[in-house]
Amino acid sequence: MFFYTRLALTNLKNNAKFYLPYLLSTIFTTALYYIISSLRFSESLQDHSSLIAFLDVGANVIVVFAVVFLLYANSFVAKNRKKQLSLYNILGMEKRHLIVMMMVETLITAILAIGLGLLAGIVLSQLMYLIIVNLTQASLEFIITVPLVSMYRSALLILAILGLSLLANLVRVIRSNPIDLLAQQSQGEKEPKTKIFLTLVGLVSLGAGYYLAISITDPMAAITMFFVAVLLVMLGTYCLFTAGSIALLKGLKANKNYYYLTRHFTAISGLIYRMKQNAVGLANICILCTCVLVTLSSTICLYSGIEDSVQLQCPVTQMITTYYAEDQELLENIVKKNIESISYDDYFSIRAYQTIGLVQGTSITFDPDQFDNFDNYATINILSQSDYNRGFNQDLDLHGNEIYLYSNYGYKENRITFANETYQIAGTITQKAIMADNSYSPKQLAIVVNDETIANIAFLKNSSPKFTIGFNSEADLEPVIEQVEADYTSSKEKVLYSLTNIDQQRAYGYELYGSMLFIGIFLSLMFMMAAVLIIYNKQLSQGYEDQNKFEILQNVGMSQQEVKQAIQSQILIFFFLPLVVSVIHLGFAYKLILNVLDLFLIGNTNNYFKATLICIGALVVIYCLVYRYTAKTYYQIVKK
Amino acid sequence: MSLLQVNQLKKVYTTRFSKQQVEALKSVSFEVEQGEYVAIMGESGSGKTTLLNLLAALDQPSGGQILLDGTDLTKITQRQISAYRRANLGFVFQDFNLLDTFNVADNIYLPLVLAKQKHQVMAAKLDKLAPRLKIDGLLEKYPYEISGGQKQRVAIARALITEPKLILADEPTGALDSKSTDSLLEIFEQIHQSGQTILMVTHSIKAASNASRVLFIKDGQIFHQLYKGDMTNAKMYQKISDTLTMLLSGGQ
Ligand SMILES: Nc1ncnc2c1ncn2[C@@H]1O[C@H](COP(=O)(O)OP(=O)(O)O)[C@@H](O)[C@H]1O
Ligand SMILES: [Mg+2]
Repeated sequence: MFFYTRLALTNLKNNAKFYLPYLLSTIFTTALYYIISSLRFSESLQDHSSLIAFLDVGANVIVVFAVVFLLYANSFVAKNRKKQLSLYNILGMEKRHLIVMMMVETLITAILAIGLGLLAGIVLSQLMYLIIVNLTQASLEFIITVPLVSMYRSALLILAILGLSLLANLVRVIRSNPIDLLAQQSQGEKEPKTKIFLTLVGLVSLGAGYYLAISITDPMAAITMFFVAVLLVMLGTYCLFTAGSIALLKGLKANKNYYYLTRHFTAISGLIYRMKQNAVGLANICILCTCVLVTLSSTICLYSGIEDSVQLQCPVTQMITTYYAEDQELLENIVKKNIESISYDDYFSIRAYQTIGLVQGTSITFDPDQFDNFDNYATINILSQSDYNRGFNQDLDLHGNEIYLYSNYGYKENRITFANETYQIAGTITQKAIMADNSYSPKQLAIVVNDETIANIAFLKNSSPKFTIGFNSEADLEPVIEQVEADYTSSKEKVLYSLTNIDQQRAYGYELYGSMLFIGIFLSLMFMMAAVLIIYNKQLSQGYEDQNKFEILQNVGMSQQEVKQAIQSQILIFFFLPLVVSVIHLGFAYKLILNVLDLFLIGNTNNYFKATLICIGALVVIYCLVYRYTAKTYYQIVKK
Repeated sequence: MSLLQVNQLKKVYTTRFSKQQVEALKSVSFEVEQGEYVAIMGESGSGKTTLLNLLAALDQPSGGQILLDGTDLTKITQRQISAYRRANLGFVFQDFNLLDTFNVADNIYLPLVLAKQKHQVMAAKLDKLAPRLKIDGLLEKYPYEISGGQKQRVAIARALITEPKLILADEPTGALDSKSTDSLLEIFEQIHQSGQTILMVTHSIKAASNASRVLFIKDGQIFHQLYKGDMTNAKMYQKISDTLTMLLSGGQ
């Protein structure tokens, strides 16, 4: 056993170039899973149900991703060890010895990964706890939590994945024939064939995906179509990276006057081979980058929109709305009595018909049978002159078709048409509170008409107005509201009113979107880790591929400078293609994502634009750093 | 004037990590006439590859002079050296040095493409050259699809296509079996006949006995030289092997 342990340790050390990144990825995965799981099971967070729900989703995504990703990482290491294993085999180690050796290696990996991963996880999860509490603005004390169940689950997950990897490696060894293995490595590779069909599939599905993304305006359709578009774009990406790139390069190669130019000659032939061997890896990097961009930009946007949206939805600190007009006096009396003890201002109470309408030019349609473009919809309050005068202490006197209008987006016309009648706008109202709690849309309108007119508007006859009381106050409103509730229930059997409190709305927003942002960052970290590992592995394999090239090209009469430039430009195209494509993807997805975001939160076009730019900027910087750092490995290998 | 003049060429390697210096070439002087076929022999480590690398301007000498057609190679600037090398020198290596990513034709075109020649011109040159080297059937194949002897003929074609003043070959038969060696030597003989100047490092007595002159190098110095003159290959073979025996026994 001691012998095998020593052998295994030597192997791992000698293969450090391949093995170390694999080990790091395993440690990182363990830590990530532990962190998210420990937050999930942290006792102090249990009351925050939407946070817990998101953590659950995040943990599941990590599990799926970890399996796929670590199996990939393992297969890369295994491929590059083939030669070593077959050498051992030829030198007299039997397959069963190899098997024991590999088992010991896996055991060492498991111990290191679980040990270091949990250690890192336990330390970092405290930090993550602070971050999550901060993001969701939950009022929680800092406590150190180390849930045993999370440690157990993380260990189990990693053991399962390493077990699977080991199994795959064992099958490889058992099936292999050492002579084949040795021969395989020196074999040259055929130039890839042009795959017209796959290229066409790629073009069509990418085109369709892009078309869907830019043509859909209905946010409801957007949410379902989003996934269709994502699938189409992914399919297109894979096809075009694998088949399309080669078709393009071979097309260029066929044009002899283009191909046989010094600038293009080595680049085209070199890239054909690089793409043949690495297209899937590059497509993966591209998809991962796109995931990072989409996840981060949308969660940042949602998070940064919380305050705007709360302000939009809550014109005052507290609102109480009853759906029964006949309760209004009772409710108002109770509320007035109970808030006498606190300081408050901006008190109002209004009775208004609350509805949604499609606004086109100067006309409003009230019964849309299809939601098309959210941008054209407004939440609308219609109220009578006497209700308005009473609620806001005003003395409007409207005649005939005169109305007063409130609009939060600068309605400029002097008339407005609805229900087959055109009204003249006699003046504007500036009190935001007039929208009461009917204010969840980015566009808001309130219309004050005289009392006879309102009685004649046909479509209002079937609906009843809502009665809303609101006021601003810095005081602690919880006991007040509780008392209101108690008084109200003592005189009524059913409670038929709703409460809108700005602090609660804010807390709700921070919990929901804070959790989303946290998971977004977390998953982005994981996607980035995967992308980094793939980039690193590609640098390794490209390095070995290019080892001889430098020398040969110099021997045939290229200067060192020229060789460097030629190969560098290939490597740059090779590594930056995924990034460029992912930014293009995001460009096309931009409108679609905005449409989906519209369903969650309001007034965020500008926010989303900023969030997107920030994410792209950050990704480009990180990508360049990763490239520069991993390129060192490449040059180390090539210079030998 | 001779095509190639080498005067008191010196090369000292200083390794980066130790202060130790290796004097690979002490003082080497010789001349090569236009159209000559010169073989260079010597034990491994005696400095043959070093010499060839210096002649190829792939490395800088520590002292001395190399005149190719009157131009001092050591005086050419780094910027011009590649172009100069491309235009005037052709190389053949033991391990072929073909690029796997190019097919045979493109491998041969490589130096011409670097010299920015038009495709039609290159194609015409290759059409003339390929039958002479018996590779006209291989042009669309890839290096891994052809044998070692064929690869070396492709490498020779790549060296010849620029019509260089001098062909430098470093153990071109070193990786070949005896049959391929024979046919490759025939090809060298044939291009020599057509007037090409060749400088070939070799371990093979048989290869060397084809040459018009053999230089023996030992410990970084020219130790002896043999002119073939009117000798038959067999006689030359005998003389070379005698010289080598003497060389190995360390005698003078
Ligand atoms: N790049 C180098 N750095 C240091 N020493 C070298 C280098 N290249 C060759 N040498 C040394 O120079 C001597 C001559 O080498 P070389 O010219 O390759 O010999 P040959 O080709 O005749 O076998 C040897 O002792 C070798 O170790
Ligand atoms: Mg040598």
